[in-house]
Amino acid sequence: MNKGETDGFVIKSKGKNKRKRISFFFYDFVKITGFLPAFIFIRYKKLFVSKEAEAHHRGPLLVISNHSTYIDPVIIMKALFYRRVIFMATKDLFRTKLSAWFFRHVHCIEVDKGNVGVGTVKDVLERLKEGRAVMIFPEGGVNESSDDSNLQAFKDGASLMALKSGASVLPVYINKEKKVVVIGEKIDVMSFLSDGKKSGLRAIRDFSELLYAKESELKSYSENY
Amino acid sequence: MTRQEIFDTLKDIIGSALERTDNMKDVSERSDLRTDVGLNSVGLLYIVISIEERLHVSFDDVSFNDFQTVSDVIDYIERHQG
Repeated sequence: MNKGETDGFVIKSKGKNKRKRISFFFYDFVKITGFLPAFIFIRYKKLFVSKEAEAHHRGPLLVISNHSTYIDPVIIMKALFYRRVIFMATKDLFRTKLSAWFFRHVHCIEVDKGNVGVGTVKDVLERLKEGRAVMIFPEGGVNESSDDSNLQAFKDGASLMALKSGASVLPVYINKEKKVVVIGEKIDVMSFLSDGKKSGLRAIRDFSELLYAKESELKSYSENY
Repeated sequence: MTRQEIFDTLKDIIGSALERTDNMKDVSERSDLRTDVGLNSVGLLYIVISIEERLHVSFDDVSFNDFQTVSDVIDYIERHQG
């Protein structure tokens, strides 16, 4: 391994940056104008699992959550109002010129769920290195099972992004039955990696299991509320 | 880099990712990345990013379905190495 550029997992080199820069003006406009209807129609109570969970997190942040309804991104935006959260959006949403323009200008990252491109992964890593907050639903899509109160198995993509970027992970759980959104404590990736035994794809799987365990804790917390 | 050097580097990267200590002796250029080597989509993305870091070859415009065998990856690196 080229020690000058990587230290185990986390990429330290900046690499090429081919992404076209888009200002956050339209993102902020949509967020501000959408706040009132979101405030009226989406009344989820925000809960914190501890005093530490109430902290406002600055810098690179990977937000993860269960995904059971199509309004989950709005719930997350409202719960983390202090951050500009960047979402992943399926390529179907970029089909027309107008929708593509809209989703690009609200800073959504286009993803082909059936055939994830390397460019998509690098786009996420780049945003995290810029100090942004990126949201990923590790279940891989809306949970459409008959019993959507059960968490689906997590895909490893979120772990890959976290371990490659070194960004902290903020677990969030949305309980649509109880209309609550639970914010957990930030998970420090560097602490996870500091155990020298963790490397390769096993570390990614182990971290996915850790994220799943944290989400399950938040789920129990919401159910006991 | 010669094709053999690329192949050896690739085996080293995959071996590290899978924590294999047998020098990947059972892997040939014809080996299927999924069924023979045992990589899933995230595993393939991890390997590709590791190759970028080590060999400075950009994989920006490819997806994990673009590579079926080890040979496909070597061909890509040969075409795009500086």
